[in-house]
Amino acid sequence: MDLAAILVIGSSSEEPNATTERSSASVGGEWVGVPYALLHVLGKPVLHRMIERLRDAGVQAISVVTDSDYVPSSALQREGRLSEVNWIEAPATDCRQAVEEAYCDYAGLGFEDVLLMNLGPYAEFDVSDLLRFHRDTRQNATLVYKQDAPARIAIVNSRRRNDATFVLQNGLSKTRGSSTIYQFNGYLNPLARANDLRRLAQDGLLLHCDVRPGGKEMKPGIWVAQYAHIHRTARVLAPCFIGASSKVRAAAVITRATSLEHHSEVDCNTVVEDASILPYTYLGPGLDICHSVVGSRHIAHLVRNAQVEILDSHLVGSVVASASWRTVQNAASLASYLPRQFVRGLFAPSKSERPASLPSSVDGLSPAVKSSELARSTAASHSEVEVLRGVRSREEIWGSVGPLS
Amino acid sequence: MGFSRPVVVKRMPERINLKQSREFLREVQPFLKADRPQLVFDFSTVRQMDAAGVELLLQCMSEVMKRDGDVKLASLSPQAAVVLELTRTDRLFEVYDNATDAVRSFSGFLPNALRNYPGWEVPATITPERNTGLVA
Repeated sequence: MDLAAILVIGSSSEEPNATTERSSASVGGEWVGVPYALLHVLGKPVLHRMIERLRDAGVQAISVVTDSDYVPSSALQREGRLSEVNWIEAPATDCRQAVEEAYCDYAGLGFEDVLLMNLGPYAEFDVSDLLRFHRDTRQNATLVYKQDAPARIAIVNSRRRNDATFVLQNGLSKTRGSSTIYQFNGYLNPLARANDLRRLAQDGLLLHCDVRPGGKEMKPGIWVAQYAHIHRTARVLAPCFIGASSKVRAAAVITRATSLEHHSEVDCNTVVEDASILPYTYLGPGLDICHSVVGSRHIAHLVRNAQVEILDSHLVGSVVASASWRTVQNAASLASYLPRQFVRGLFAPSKSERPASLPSSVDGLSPAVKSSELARSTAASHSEVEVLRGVRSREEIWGSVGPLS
Repeated sequence: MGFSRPVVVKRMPERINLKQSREFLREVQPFLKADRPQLVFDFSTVRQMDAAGVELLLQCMSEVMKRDGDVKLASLSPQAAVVLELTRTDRLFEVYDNATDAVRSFSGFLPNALRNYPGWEVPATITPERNTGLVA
C-alpha cells in the first residue's frame, strides 16, 4: 500500500478560528494534562492501538506529531512496535508546521497519498477501502465521517500541499473544494471526555468494538494480564480487566466492566464498580468507586459529571512509577514488617478482653478514614453511627459475627 | 416539641483537612453538647475534603445522636459529594439541596430525604414492630 500516515496528538489540528470549539476540545480531550489518546484502555494506549491498526492495514510509514507538553515517555515510545514510528515533537504553536513538513517529507519519499489523523477520536475504519474510495473518486482530499460526525481523518494526495494545509487548518473537517465524503459504519468514539474513555473500555469488554483487552482470559469475560496479583478472597466479576502488575487485595470487589490498568492497586475491602482505574493508581481500603475514572489523584464521577482532585493519599494515591524505587519501598516494607508486628503485639489489647462496644469491633469505618489523626482521637465508629441512624440494625451487625455465648 | 427547638446552620470551610476539622469541631462543640441538637452543615463552599473531614462528620453525628439530635447536610458541592460517596458516608446522612429545605425538614415527622430515593415509600403509619429494631 503506497500510503503514509501522520497522527496528530494535541491542539495542532484544531480549527484556529473556532476558538470556543478549540478551547473545549483542548480541555475536554485531556485527563490532567494528558491527551486521552495517550491513556491506557484495556492494557494499551489508544495511540498504540491505532498505530497497530494502520500497520496491519499495510501503511508503510507512520509519523506521530505531538505537542512538546504531551511527549509520551520513552518507555511508552519503545512499547510494542512503536520504535519504528517517527516521533516529532513541536511546540503547540508550531505543530501544524511540523505536520506540513512531515507531509512534504513523505511526498519527497514518493508516497502517493498521506493519511492525516487527529487523536482525538478513535475510529475503526477500513484503510484500504478508504484509499480505494479516494482513488476512485480522484479527489485531492477525502474526509472521513460517520453520519454527521467528523472522524477527524482525511486522506490527501501528496502533491497537493495547499489542500493539506487547508484541511489541517480546518481541523480535518473541511476540504478546499467540494468533495465527496467517505462515510464509514465502523466504531467511532470521540474521546473528548472522561465518559468517552470509560465507554471505550466498556465497549471493549463487551466486544462492541475491536479494542481487545490485553492479557489472558482466565474465566469468561475476565482478562488478567501478566504479573497481576489477585488475593484469593477478592471477588472479580465478569466482564473486567486486571492490568499487568496490578494488585487486588483481600476482600476487594471488581465488577461491572471495570478496567484496572497496569501497576494499579486496590486495597482491602474496596468495591470498584463500572470504573476505569488508570495506571499507577492506588485506591485506599474500604472505598466505594462507582461510575468513575480514577487516576493521577483525580476522580471523575461520570454520573455527577464532576472531576475532583483527591489530595488525601489514604483515599486515592499514586504508585511509584520507577521499578527500582518500588523495589526499595517493598524491601523496606518487608524489613519493617516484623518490628511493626512486635510493637503492635506489645500495645494491642489482650485477645481475651471483651471490646467495649461489640458493634464497633465488627464493622469499622474505612481504615483510610481511620488513619487520620483526628480519627485516632475519637471514639466514634462507623457501625455505631449506622446503628443510630438505622442504616443497619444492631441484630444485623451482631448477626454477622454469630451468636454470642 | 421538636419544631420549637432552634436549628443551627453551619457553613463548612472551603478546605476540610485535619487542621480545619479540629477548628471546626471546636466551633461546633457547644452546639453538639446541647440538648437534642439540630444541626445543618452547609457544604456549598467546600472545594476540598479529605478523610479527616469525613471523620469530623462521623464524630459530629455520633455526638449528636447520643443526645437524640440530628445532623443534616445541605448544598453538597460535587467535591464533597464525591468524597462522601467514595468513603460510603453519604448513606448515613440526610442530604438536602439547600439549607432551607434541611432546616424545614426538622419540623416534619418523617425525613423528607426519603423522597429522594425512588422505590422507597414512606409508610402511612409507623408500626411498633418497625420501631423496635433493637429488641432481641
